[in-house]
Amino acid sequence: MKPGELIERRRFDFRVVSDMRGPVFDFEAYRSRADLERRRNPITRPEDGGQASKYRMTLRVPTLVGPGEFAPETVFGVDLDVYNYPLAEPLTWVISRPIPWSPHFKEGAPICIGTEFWVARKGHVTLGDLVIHIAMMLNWDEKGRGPGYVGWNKEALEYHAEHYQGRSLDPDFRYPTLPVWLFGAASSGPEPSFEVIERTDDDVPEW
Amino acid sequence: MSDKIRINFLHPTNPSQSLTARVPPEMTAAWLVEQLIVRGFIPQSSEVGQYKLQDIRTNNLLHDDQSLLAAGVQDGASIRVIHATTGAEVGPR
Repeated sequence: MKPGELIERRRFDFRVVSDMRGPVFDFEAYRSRADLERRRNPITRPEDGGQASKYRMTLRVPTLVGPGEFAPETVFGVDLDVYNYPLAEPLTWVISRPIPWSPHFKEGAPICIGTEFWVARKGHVTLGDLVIHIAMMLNWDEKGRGPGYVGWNKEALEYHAEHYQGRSLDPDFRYPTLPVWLFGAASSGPEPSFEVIERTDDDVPEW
Repeated sequence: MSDKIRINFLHPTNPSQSLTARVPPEMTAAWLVEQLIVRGFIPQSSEVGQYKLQDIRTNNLLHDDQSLLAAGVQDGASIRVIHATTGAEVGPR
């Protein structure tokens, strides 16, 4: 992806997650890992969204942190500044403690989002999809990754199987949703901000 | 968001090249430069702030974080893209 295209992709991701904010989901966006760790110079303006590559995200999804123990929210980091993004999945890590008691979360390791979720979609997946995916993982709302899968926490998997019989922690939980404009809803989709009317040059082809 | 205004951007090195666009007046100079890069009107700069925008009517040089509205740029304005060199003065002399 060319530098200009990457800026546009980052701006797109920023816009998607900005329109997903609500009681369940919120985030802070930054330009660098140092800014994220110090929580300084957050990116707030849509026109700066192309510079947003590090996110500090909060999902208020009650999740297991031990046998019968729950945490009301989980804070995690997302770094889009990985080689070959968006074909390659962003880097993720858990910031808050305790770490969710789950086969997909482990201290000091990326969140196990699954290659089938991101890489297999060859870039046709947004940062907003990742937010929903992690929210569902926190709620143990997934089809499972096949027999024999234990991930990073076999004990948690067995506990869930025994106490929830494959169900999510809260079957009625309302996840954040992707903005409607993403699906091309004509009435709600804003027109492009930068609308080219005319271009006069000799060398550059029409686009 | 306010109604868009029409801006005619002039290429930094080729006077025969121009790009006319309708843009929200609250967008900043840095954002406009990004849009011009994305659309291939000007090449990617190697350093932040390498490009500057100048309102032809007033000769005002826009700051990177200054919006068109704040800079008093009017509908139908012509804006020259200036290729600034680090360490050198930019703008009218």
